[in-house]
Amino acid sequence: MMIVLLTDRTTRPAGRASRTVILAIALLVGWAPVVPGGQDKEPPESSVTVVERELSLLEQDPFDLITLDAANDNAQLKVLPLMDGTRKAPLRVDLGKQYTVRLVEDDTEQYTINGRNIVRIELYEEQLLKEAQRLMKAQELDEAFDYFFALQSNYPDLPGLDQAFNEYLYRDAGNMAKSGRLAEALSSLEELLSRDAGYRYPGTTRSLWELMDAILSQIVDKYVDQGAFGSARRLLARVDKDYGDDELKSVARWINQLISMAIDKREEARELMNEERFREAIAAAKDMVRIWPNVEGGRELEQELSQLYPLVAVGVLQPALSHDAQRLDNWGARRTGRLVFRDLVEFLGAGPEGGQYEFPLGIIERSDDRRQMIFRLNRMTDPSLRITGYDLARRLLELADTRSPDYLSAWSSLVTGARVQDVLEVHVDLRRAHVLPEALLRIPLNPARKVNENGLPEGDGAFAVDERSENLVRFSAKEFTAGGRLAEIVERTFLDSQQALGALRRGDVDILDRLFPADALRLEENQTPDDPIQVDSYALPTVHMLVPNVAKNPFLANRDFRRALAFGIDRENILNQELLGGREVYGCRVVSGPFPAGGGEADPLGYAYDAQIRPRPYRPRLAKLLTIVAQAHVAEAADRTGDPEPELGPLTLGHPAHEAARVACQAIALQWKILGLECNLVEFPPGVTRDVDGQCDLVYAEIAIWEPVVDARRLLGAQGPAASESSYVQQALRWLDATQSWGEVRERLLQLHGSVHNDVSIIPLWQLVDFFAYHDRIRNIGEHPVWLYQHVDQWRLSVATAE
Amino acid sequence: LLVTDRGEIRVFDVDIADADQPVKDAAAMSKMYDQPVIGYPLTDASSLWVADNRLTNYKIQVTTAQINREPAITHVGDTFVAPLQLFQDVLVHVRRVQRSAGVTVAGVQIDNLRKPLWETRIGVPLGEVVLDSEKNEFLAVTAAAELFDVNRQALEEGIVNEPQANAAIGGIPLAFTDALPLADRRVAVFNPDDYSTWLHLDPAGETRRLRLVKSAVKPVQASCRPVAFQNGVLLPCVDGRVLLLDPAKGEQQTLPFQPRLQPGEEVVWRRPAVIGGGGDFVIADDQRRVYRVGIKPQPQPFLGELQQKQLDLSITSDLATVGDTIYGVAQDGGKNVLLALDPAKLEPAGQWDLEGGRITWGPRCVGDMVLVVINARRMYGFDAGREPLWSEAVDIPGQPLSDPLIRNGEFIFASADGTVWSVSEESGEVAKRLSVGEPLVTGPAAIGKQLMVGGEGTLYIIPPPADPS
Repeated sequence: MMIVLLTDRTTRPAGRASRTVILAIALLVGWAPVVPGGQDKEPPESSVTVVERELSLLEQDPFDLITLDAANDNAQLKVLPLMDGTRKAPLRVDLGKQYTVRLVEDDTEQYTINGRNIVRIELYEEQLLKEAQRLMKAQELDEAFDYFFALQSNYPDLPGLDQAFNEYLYRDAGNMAKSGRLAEALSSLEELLSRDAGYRYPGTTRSLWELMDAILSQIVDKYVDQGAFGSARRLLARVDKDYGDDELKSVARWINQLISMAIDKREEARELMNEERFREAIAAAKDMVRIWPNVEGGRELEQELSQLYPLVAVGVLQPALSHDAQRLDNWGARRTGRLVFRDLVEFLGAGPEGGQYEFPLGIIERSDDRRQMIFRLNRMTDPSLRITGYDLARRLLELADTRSPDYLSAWSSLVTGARVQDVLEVHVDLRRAHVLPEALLRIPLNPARKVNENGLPEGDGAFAVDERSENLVRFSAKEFTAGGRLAEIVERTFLDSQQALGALRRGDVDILDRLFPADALRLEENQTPDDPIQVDSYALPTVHMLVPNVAKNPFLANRDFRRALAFGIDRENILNQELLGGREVYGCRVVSGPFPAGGGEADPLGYAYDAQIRPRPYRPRLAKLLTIVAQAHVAEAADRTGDPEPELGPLTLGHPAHEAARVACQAIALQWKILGLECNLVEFPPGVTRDVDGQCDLVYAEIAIWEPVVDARRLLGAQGPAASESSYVQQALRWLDATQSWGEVRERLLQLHGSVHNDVSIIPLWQLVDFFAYHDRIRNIGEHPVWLYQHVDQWRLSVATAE
Repeated sequence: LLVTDRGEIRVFDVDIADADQPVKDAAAMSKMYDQPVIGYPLTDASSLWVADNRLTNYKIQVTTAQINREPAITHVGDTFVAPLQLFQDVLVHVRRVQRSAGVTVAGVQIDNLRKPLWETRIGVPLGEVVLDSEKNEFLAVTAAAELFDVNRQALEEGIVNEPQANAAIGGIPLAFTDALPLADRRVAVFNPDDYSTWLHLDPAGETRRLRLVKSAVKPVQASCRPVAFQNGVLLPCVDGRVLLLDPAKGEQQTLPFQPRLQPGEEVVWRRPAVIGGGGDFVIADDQRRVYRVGIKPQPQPFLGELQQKQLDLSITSDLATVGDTIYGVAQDGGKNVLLALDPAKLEPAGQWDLEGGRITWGPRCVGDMVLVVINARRMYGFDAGREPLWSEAVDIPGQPLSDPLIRNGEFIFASADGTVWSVSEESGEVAKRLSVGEPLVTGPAAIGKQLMVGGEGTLYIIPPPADPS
């Protein structure tokens, strides 16, 4: 009788990748009916076993291995585990016992085997241990670990397991150390130590402690070499806490060495400070803190330095290539503009009647009939602020002069003349009343944009650009004297937000501007009460949009095509999942127009936003249909003019070089691909936000609209970053310019929102609240500032909290 | 060789042995200018220099029939006024430097046209002469910013070659011809094309008596000639400001006067008249507005408006004051009238018909009266009592060059044609005249009993004009 056993029922461990199951055929040949009767079924008469192993032992269902005697050709039977629950290795064969088994290959049948015919029974766990040891000796340690792990988990009392595993750990540590994986080697040794502190590998003289000490020293040495002093300190501290320094001699040695290095840096910093080389002194002090924060006298030195020369390091993901507080579309330029250049009127924040403004040189009053602005200048005490009514009047007139490079059409249409009264008063006559004429004057106080011999801008702001390199811009306080509030701001550029966060944690930077939203939220969520890193959001959101280049691409000049692009973006998904990491954030939402929607109905910032206009939903099928319609229209138009029919090639989408824009644009490109629209992404150089070469079909823009009544023209007007050629939009802008009351303003802005929406002049995406994080040693940074340096003249520095 | 006044150059090969075609083109270069330009060519072997409104060197290559322009083109914008001369390897050229007075003669090495071997200016007009009446000596400032000390020895020798000082700086146009006498015998001499830079002459100064001064206020575009006011220079500007500048330093003495302005407005100011014993001034614009302005001390000294009036007539001339009257020429119904204004009220106090003539000089305050010339041929005089000096206008020999010298009841004038003449203050009669026989640019001034007048690079000491009879 021949039994054919099919072993294809072998189960695979959960979680493993599936693979083709190989047939293994076991033929039992020449089996005598070892039991004359009483068995459920006779065993096969004879058998020949051919085992083609494809799955490792660990991957197979557990089985015990019974080896029969010579009468049975020493056949090996794989049987389902014997004596489930009570078995214990090693299992001695009871010669008088009838063993009832089920073959692994066919567990439907039960067989009885006489103990006399059994030479040996190898339990599954014994097989595992044997295989683990084999693998270990073959230096296949990763594979061996799986076996030991399974044994430790399921058969912890298996005789010989402890000793075998100890040997494994020893060998593993040695192997890791040889391959330079010192931390893992240390981990293995620590595990071995915890299991058997007296373990000694046969033939070796060194104790576990000695080995650990050597490995530990190598690790710390490597950390020190790499400048990873924090890691070195943490490791030494842990080891010291866990084991003390009685056995591990290198702990104390290294601690002393680090302290000594920190002392050297402290002395270097002090010397530099005495020579008034403050920047270098601060760098040396930072090194000191990085090496050993609690070094004696270090805190005092830091305190002294931060008082003598307060320097703030700011990590930025969008570097400032220019400095212009008026740039709607360039975060870096806007952030730093106020540092370098003074503005005539400064925006403080949103209020119930438009923005709130400050005239830093005095006060601005309005006549009762609102047809005159009266600028009353303070008597000048600070020489850098000395400006007379004559200067101011000339600047105000210049802004209204069509020949001026700083010409402001909205201001020009409003102003009829200006006169100076008694040096410090300027009366500006207005052609008509305006709801917020101050808002038009968010412009540089001085028109001249000079550069020094190094090509760096020279402005009238409190800071001068002292140094600019690829990754660093250094702003020095112009009037700084030792002991002043702030001597320097150094902006360091990071291209990766994780690196930037690491730098903030390490104390390499004190502030991190505009984090990736999900990172900021995660940081906020994980904050502990004593966490020195604080997270805050800016007062006003940015509105993100795609600006089509209608002049470049005839398809983008087609409204249906622009609508198709809008319907083809799942904005909710990108915003909520990709940018916010699945969190809901107040103020972050999909928008239907170019203006901020505010946080809700009551948010005064949203006065230009028409909540009745719903954002276009994600409708890929409609989008596809619209692309076909648009293509037909474009072809027809070409046919009418006799031009060759344009081909719809891949779209080029340009975006700033930071993570939020990159992630959003990648998602948009993928979604457009579903519509059959190929989209190539072009990342602008760091700090660049405009498509200066006109190579892109669309540009991802992040716009800061702080005062829609005036920013609408700056955005959509001829020179704006989203200049619209739509006659409806232009008409709406003209109407807006002519408004005289807030009621009219609101009405005209809603009209403009509608025009932009209908024309799809831009493809609105979402409004996003922006975040920054800072070390709590920076004080008075202000809660929810409009821009990072809004209160820079109030900033104070204290010494960082030591570890 | 043929060079046209459009800069075209043709070189011909003339072969008299070739009966059929004796003249053949050897090389050519197409025209450079659309407008005619007078040029002076000079050749030497294969080199060609052309001096027109620049000096250009060409190489003629007959073998390749080409004319190649050398990269060294110099003196672009200057006007060459005489043929080039070659003395061995030195090229001598004569030119009027752009926006500068006089003629510059220079010698340059032919292989380095940019660097002159030597240079001299000739025919430079006088800017101003300051007399030392005690010593009968004087200092002369030329338009080229040179200061000559014309002392007794120089007067005896009749020549002074070396300037005592030269305040010129490279790149500054040298045309300082508009002199403004200041207090303490100091003088500011302006370039009429650019009032932002001037020469300041302080005869009493111990060092650097002549300095070039630049206005610290920028930009400065003068709207009319400046006047002396409160030890400073009052300079009305096109942008509406009336600046009071320290003539020695160029800084503002006080903050300016600035009327109400419209965006982009350019103000045409009429030269102001100083009144009230020198404490205030009156200034008018072309919009019929007239202002009285004085220095106000608080919150910091500034030129503040004291009074403003809108006139019925628009003032078209400088203002001049004598006694309690301000005179100015105004347009009334298409003809010129002399308008007298009451400085206290800024209201018209009298008006005289000027025969519809074109104002060519004045009104100027001369002594106790105001003189004005129409059509360069007729002179009117008015006194502080708002009365005409003479029963009718006086026919004069020519346009006065500058303010007259007052001597013995006579006004002595000089004209550009070389005539020196006098007008009797009492009768208005032009009884005496003298012809120098050379063009004049300045004067007259008194040297003892004699007169001094200035020509282009020459001073003339002459006797007073005499009665022809």
